[in-house]
Amino acid sequence: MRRKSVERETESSSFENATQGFIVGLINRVIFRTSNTLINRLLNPRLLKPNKRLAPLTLPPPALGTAPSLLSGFTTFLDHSPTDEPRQTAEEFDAMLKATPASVVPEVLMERRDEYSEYLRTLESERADVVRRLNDVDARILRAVAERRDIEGRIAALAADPGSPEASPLVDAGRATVEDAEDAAYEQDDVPRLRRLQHVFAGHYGGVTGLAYDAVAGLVASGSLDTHVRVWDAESGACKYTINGHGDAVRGVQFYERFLLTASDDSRIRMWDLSLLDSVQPRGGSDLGTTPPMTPTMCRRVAPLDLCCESTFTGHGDAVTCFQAEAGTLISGSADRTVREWDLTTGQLRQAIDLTWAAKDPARSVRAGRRPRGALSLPGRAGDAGFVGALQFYDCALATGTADGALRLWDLRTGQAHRQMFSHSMAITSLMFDDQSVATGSLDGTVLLWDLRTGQVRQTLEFEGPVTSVQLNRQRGPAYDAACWIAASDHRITHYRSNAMQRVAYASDFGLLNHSMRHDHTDAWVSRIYCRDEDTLISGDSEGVVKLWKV
Amino acid sequence: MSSNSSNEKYLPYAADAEVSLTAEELLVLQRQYEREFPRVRIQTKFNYAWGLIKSSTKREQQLGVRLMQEIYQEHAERQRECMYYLAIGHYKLGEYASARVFVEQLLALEPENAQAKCLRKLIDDRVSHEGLIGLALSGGALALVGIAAAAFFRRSK
Repeated sequence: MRRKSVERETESSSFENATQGFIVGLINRVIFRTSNTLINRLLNPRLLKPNKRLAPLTLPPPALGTAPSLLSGFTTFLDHSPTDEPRQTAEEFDAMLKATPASVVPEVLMERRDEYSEYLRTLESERADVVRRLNDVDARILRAVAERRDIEGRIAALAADPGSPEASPLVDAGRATVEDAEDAAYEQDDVPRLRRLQHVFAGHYGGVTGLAYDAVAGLVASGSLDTHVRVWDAESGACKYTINGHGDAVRGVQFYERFLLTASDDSRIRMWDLSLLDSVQPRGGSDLGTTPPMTPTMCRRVAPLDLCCESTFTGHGDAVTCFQAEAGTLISGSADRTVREWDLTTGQLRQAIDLTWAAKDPARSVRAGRRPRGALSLPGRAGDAGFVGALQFYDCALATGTADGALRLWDLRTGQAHRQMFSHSMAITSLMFDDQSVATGSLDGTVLLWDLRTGQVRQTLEFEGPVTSVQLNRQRGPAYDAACWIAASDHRITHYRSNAMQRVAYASDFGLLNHSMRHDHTDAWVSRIYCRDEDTLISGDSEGVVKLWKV
Repeated sequence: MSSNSSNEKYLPYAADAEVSLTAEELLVLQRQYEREFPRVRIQTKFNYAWGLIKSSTKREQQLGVRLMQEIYQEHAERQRECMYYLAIGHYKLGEYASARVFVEQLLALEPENAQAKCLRKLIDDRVSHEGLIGLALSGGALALVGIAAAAFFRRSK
């Protein structure tokens, strides 16, 4: 017997593990059929301790899914960690250093040095990335300029033909043309025209996706699919600045104090200091046609434009689709299914709300009166609930419209949605609220006016095409009256008064001198409107033309 | 609510536990945990514990399981999630009995959970796999011992 035990001991440890596994397996298979508690007592000595974990649970713990998962916090935290600057500023670090005992000081300093070298490494890799992308863009610009010259040559050849109408080249940048309401070439419809077209800002070559107006400074900002942001002067009509600080289409712009915030599909929101832009671009806006094609990229260390960028908010995983900045807080919604709240003064992320988690709770939803068209808006299609089409917030109340057609009202202090209203059958594209009602426009061609207190739909407006933009303004007066401006993917802008329930559609496709030479009716449709006060309306269309109206 | 919990983003599949974090990321989590000691927030503790469980060294996995155990005891509202993570932790350590206990408890509460069912299947497979190996090896060892004993007795006879 002794020899057997000695020989057994000389076997490798894996054998021991294997036998243990075998015994466990045997017992698992034999005894598991009977009860779990037997195994607890027999096998693992740790289980014999009178641990709370195996005492019968007095109350069943709350079900999974009642709170955001711990895993989501884990992944969010990890996404952040490598690229953060060292948390403490230099002053805080000095203060902390004075308080630490002398023996620990060298370690603390080494830690600090490591933090900075990590940060520098991430900056270096980001810089290499950016330089590569700049080279790509340069190549694309070269190609585009060559094509443009080619086309101009062909047009000139055609113009040399006698008898053809005056063929003007593509719209010049930065020139404003004030057009009188009576344009002879404009075909008369029975659709009335918007009262007074003040300025036409042409210069973008992609559709306009974001508009902002600063009445005090007299500036109009427009962001477009061609990745440029242009700031126009509202009195003179000239383009003041052109900001090409984004790598992908710009999705939204907003004026905030002396800054301009821009959000783009490259998942970044950048804050530009307008007073510094003056010194960087004194010529009044550079034009793509005059960009020298052979910009030596070796000399490009930091583009002077980047110096005007006060801060960049990175962190979204996918395109930023909408945002709003107010009173020191920036809230942005993105295609990566989160809504993030940032602090504008420090540039730090305050909280990230994951939308897909909150979307799957049918118990709290309010079914509005109007049944949605088709059964598509049921919560089963929860994957789309993350894509935020529009948002607006006031203090700590946030309203989001998402791609599943649901309007959700959130409390930012808890990060939970306290109300979900389903009535649209397709994605919500724009949203605006005042203190009593919410107006939402959606791809299904309807604009709904909701009552904020009851959560029911007050009025429904139907349009022929998907609604792209909705603006809601509270009218002065004793009774509650709201005026809405709606753009619904044709050239008309509709004005609607909620008290009188009257809607008037205005045509807006006139004003460009040379457009009438090109076609009878332009194919451009209004993609964005902006109206915050009663007398100025700004509209941008899919050809990149921005118009300022006095209504 | 059960449809919520079978979302992959809510509870990770067991394969996620095999992918370990880099040393720097684990260090960040450890520093965060130490900064908040002794009253650590639940999210920080969970991050650190889950990061430890995901690593490949046994020592760290044991520490991770211990921390996750503490979360289980202290926070009643997170017990269901902790059951799942503790099951994964024990499974990685090789304590299949405890892992099995936790998974069964979780499935008793949430019978529709896909991740829990998958984990139970994994534990069963691993147990029977090791069981077979153990069976073969011990059979071979017994045969060797028997031959050696027979040879010894024959020599002594």
